[in-house]
Amino acid sequence: MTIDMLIGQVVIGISLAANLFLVASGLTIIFGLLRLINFAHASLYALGAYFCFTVSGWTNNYWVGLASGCFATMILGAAIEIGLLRRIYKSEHILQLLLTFALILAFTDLTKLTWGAFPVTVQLPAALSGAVSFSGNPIPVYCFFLIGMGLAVGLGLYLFMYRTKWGAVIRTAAYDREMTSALGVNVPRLFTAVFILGAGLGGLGGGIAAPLTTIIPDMGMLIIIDSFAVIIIGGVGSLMGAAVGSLIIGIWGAIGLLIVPQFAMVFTFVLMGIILLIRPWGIFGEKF
Amino acid sequence: MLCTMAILVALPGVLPKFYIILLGSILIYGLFAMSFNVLFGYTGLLSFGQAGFFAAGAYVSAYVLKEMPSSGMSICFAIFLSLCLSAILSLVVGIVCVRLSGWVFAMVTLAFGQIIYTIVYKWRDVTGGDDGLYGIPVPKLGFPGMEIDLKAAFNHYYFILFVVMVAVVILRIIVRSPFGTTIRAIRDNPTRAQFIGLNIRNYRLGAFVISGLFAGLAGALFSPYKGIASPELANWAFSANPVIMSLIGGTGMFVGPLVGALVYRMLEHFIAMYTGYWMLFFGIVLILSVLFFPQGITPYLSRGVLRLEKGIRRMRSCT
Repeated sequence: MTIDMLIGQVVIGISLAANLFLVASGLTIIFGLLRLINFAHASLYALGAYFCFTVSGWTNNYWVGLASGCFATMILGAAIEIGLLRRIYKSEHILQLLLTFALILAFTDLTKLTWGAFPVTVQLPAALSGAVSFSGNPIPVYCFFLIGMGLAVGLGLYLFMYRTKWGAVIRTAAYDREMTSALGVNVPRLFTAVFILGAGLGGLGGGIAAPLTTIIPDMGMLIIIDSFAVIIIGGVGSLMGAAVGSLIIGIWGAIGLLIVPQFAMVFTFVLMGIILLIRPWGIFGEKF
Repeated sequence: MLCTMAILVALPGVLPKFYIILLGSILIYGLFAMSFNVLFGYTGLLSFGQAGFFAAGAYVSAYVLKEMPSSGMSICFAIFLSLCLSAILSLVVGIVCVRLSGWVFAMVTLAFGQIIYTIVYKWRDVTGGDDGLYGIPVPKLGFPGMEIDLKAAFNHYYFILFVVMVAVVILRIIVRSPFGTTIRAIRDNPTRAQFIGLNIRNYRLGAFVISGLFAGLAGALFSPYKGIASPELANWAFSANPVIMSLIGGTGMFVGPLVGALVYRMLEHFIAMYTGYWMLFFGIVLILSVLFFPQGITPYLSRGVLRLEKGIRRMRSCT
């Protein structure tokens, strides 16, 4: 293994991290306000990829596919929040977890019913295909697009949460729901809006990953588990934590792929186990 | 309890063979669900990774039965080794997990379950990769002076019935013991339990290992019964089984998960006749039971039985 190979792998690792960040940030902003881990995020991710596949097949345009995938998961997110989750905010947390877990079961079979169990693929957009040489390694152009996308979304979310009035309202509601509601904010509507935003990020993550992977009904489960590792390492509910966690998991996983190709996933989770033993609430999380 | 046992012993005389085979697997699933409920119902920890321990048991028992010359003791040895591995595995995973609770616990157990799945899937030399281990010989049960071939008649069913019953009795002793009372106290109020001087991590770890151990036992019975151990046994979707069974049956009652396993497997059997999309169906069942029957159906059933008994008594007093 040479240094050049390592550098190339790190660049690929950062691009994986960017994709992970899109998914994990959706999970984490939903958690930040709703105090709920949305297991169904895995399904939203897969559906984002499937919608992207179908619509980009119709229109022959990847970008339209990506946008429609994101839009469709946002609508679905609204339906889930208003139709199901809203009924059980008052009951135990465990029931909410079970509900979102049940949604993965249902959605996995629904995608199988709609698109079949066979893997499908999305064509890379022409502008982003090909590779460039980076310190002696051929790196796909798409990797740089992923990194740019991750940076743009991360920056956008940061500005939204910390520099706008709505971000301030969301952070206040996360801190004290009742007080915010007493100040005249429609908190249930805020919950719906944040859930839609999070769901859209999941769908966007899926649509962006679509040209890179084979799309199968189960595809969300792989990335959701990595995203869990991300938000656990970074601290649940923290945007900064999601960013740092994705970088750690992305780069560590890419290096693991060089050292132990077969068991890269195990390699990642050894790291998660160690961090959990030292800091169970994560790097940027609050102690609970 | 004795009544149920008598019925289960007598059933092979009445039901067609197909249903007895189904019943054997229901017993195994029931044990799996009960092991899950030690964590969920009694300790208040929701684990989405129990399939990992089940699969560990299933693979060890499959491996031993395939590699060892078939002798009377091989099945006992296989079960013993399965218990050892699932105990070690749940101890290692448990040490990390019991520091957490609630949603983080659920996330981390799901992650560890998927790690076990990855290992099973990728470690081709030992586990056979995605083919799994198939062609497991039907074991014989040997005692000094006699040998029972599990292939014959309903012997395999009786063997499973015996092991599951012993396991259920042990589980009942555990949840009725001071240990069982303590974990319930921790479930209801961890802070207060800590204040009276209990080390809640150790108790949770104990419950985690017990749960993993019995899940491993269920797995060890499962693979020789089906003749195959496949990686799906470790997958997240398989971890959904005990969750749904416990929820259908009711987590507050000791036998709830067993009843849930019966209802679930019978439903699955009939649904599979019409459609292959059982996950969709059970997703919907799970959503409805979360929304409308968070207590499960067993309390309703037992209330029904009580009402029936009362009715019969009244009829008797009238005559």
